[in-house]
Amino acid sequence: MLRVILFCILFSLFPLSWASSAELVIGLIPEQNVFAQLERYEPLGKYISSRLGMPVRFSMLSRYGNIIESFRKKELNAAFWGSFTGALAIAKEGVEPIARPVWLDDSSTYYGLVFVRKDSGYESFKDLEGKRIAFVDKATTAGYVSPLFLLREQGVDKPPEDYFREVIYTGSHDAAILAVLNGEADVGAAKNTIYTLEANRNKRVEEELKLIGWTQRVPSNALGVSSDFPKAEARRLKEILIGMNDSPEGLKVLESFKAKKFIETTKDDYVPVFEMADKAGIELSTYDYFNK
Amino acid sequence: MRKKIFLAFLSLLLIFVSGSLISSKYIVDATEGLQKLLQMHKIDDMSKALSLSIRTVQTDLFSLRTPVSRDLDTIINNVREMEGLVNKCYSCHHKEWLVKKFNRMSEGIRLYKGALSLYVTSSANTPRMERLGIEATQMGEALMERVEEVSSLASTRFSQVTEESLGRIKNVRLILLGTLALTFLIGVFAAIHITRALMAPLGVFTEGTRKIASGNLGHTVPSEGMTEFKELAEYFNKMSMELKIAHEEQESTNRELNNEINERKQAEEEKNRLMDQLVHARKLEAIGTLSGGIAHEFNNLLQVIQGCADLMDITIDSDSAARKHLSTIITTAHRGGDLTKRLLAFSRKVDGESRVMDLNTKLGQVFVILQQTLPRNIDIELHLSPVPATIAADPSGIEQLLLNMALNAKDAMPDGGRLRLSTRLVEIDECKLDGVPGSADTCILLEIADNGCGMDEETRALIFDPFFTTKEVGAGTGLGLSVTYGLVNAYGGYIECESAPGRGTTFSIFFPQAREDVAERLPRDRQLTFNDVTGGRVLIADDEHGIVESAATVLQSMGYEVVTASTGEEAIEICKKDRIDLIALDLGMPGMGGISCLDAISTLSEPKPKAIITTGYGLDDAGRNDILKKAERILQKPYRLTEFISAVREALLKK
Repeated sequence: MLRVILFCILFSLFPLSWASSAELVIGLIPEQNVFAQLERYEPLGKYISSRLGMPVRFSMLSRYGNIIESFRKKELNAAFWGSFTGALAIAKEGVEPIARPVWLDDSSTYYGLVFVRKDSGYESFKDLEGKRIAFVDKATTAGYVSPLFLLREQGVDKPPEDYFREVIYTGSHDAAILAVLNGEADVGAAKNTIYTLEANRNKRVEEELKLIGWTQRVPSNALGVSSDFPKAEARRLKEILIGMNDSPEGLKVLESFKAKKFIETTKDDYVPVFEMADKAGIELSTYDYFNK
Repeated sequence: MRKKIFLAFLSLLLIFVSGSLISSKYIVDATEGLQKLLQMHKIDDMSKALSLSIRTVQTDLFSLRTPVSRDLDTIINNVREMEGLVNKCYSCHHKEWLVKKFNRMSEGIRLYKGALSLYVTSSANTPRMERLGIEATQMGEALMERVEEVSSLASTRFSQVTEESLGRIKNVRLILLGTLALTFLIGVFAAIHITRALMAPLGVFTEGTRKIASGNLGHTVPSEGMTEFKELAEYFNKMSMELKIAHEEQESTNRELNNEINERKQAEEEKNRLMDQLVHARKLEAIGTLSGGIAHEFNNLLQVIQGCADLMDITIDSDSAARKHLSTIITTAHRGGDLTKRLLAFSRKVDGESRVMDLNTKLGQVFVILQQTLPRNIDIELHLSPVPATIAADPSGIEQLLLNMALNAKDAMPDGGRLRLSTRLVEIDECKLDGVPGSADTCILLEIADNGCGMDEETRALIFDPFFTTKEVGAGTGLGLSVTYGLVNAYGGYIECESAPGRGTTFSIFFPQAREDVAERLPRDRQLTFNDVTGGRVLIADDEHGIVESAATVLQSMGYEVVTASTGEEAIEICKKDRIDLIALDLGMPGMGGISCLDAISTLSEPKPKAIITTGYGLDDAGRNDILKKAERILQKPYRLTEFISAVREALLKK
């Protein structure tokens, strides 16, 4: 009996770790409406849980940058991240990317879009100086890094806070689109996948907005595991995801997830992100990703 | 009655069933109402839970970005819980107006979620974040209003359903109570009515049964009223009548049985009486046979003594001194002969001959003697039958009988009294005589009654026994009543004695009334004649030597030629060889005996010897008559030689 009590005490003293956790906690960044996003990811979580033999819980992060903090605090075992947060996590916390989805249009990448209202008359970034811009988050590729990269390409060296009259961070890509649609901002930045989703859902997007810039492709939101995640389990998780399209059940889940399959992802896939950040003037290892 | 009971139960059943059916319907309705109530209760709970859930989310919203704010996952879960509740409500209701309200609620939630998402993910721009927060809060409040509107509707409906359900339950209670009360009242009414209807006839039947039980068999009850009781009354009356008939039959049978038992008792008593009589008669007969045998032997001895004495009387001188002694011998022998004669009389072997005589005449003669001889303190009454009391008997025997009885009566009345002698004719039924040959339809009853000291039963049973006497020694021989008994029996009569101590004694003697044909057959008084001896050859057959010797001697002295024989066979041989004029034959010889010898002699060819029979036994009338057909005379031993000589002479003179 004494042995059992001692074991329980020692067990409670250890911090949360993979070996001792009773569930797999996967973090989600708020790339769209948090409720809609959760609904979209939940079938995938159930599938992984059934295959892995343990409960899977999604933890919604209020901001992109929170993912780094969460990994650091070991509140997450894994996370579906955006390409920039992925790059940040790889760089800062040494997390390991394992797989990413291939969308229905056979793409496994996305790119950043910059859009304005059609009735604004703005045609290029040069027209946007002194205007109000809606970023998504400083820790997003399409919602922040891409427009900065495009500004640099257009020869604008000023920090955005100086170049634009007002800078807002909507937190999610659809919120950025809504901000421009509603006149809250004059220009907005978002990833093409969410823009397409919103355009399909809300006809005002096609009717009232126009694109004035887009960047090169970067890997779409991928699943990465924490640095202390067991390798064997990481491989198993990767195999589950990559083998999803081989079973009818997996295909059904993929369909609701709006993807065709999962493919392997490595750190090398994030090279374009690193390059884009570099060109955008962002030093990842010291980057302050908190919106201010 | 059966119909009434059936109707009462049927009405009870109908009321109960209808009450049950109505109650069941109300119970089912009430149950459904309760189910609805429960559902409404759930709806009410859900609406309250929804309100609470929205409040929670609003609280999350207010506390967001404060030190006590919940994490985003909790906030999202709360919102989704809220949405789940709405979806649950939405799935239950189908009324159009409600569906519209739920649609509005769903739309509100969708907008609220969008605003919430914008707010929770916004950052960096404080005014914007505040604006988004206010928008989300307002949407939350708007949603809240919609929810409360629906909740209010649900509560109202809930109250309505509750009231309806309570109303139904109240109705069920009323109907159940009403049914029970009605059933109870009808049951009580039916019970009272049926009890009354049953008790009255039952009282009649109880009273009827009590009367029958107290012996009033055949009691009937009125056959009226309800069919069952009418039928029951008919059966009751029938039963009562049958009981009465059966009782009467039983009583009749009992009477018959009692009669039969009495008859049997009487028959048994009569049988016992007859048995007693028979035993007594046999006893007396045995004594008679014994005394007869003794008398015979004594007679032979006395005959020798008598014969020898008679011879001596002839042969000795008249002045001889021995003549005195000889006279004593002859007198004593004569007394001995009297004694044996009495014994023979008791054994019915009387010497005298029966003839038709009038008992009244003899009674009159004896009455005169008694008046002269009995003490004067004894009154003698004589009651004679108006018609002659003719009987067949020896008059001297009857006289002896009457005197014996009178003397006994005198002895029973030492202090005087009344002696009553009577005769009367009685019907044959009263005669107590059986098997009297040639008897008439009537018999003569001779009663000799005294009012003397009487006898006890023990004494009465022994009075006819020879030598039984209550008198002092020497005062009587004890043969008086024995001789009477023998004489009565010899004359075909019957004697009985009725006596009790202090009540006197009555002897009843029944004689068969003698009829004319019998009177004719019986001899009348004979006149004996004595003539001189004519001489003849006489055979004396007797086994007693002394008798033969004395008889031969006297006959020879009288000039008769005498031959002797000691057995019947010898006598027959003599008769066959020589001429014999007369044979004096003793009946009690050894060998073939006197009777067979007489029969053989009577069959001899002429000239047959005449016969005189001598006997020491007594002979009844039948035997005597039979012998007298073949013999001239019967001489009862002991006889005097003179008597013998005259008998021989008389027989030889007879043609």
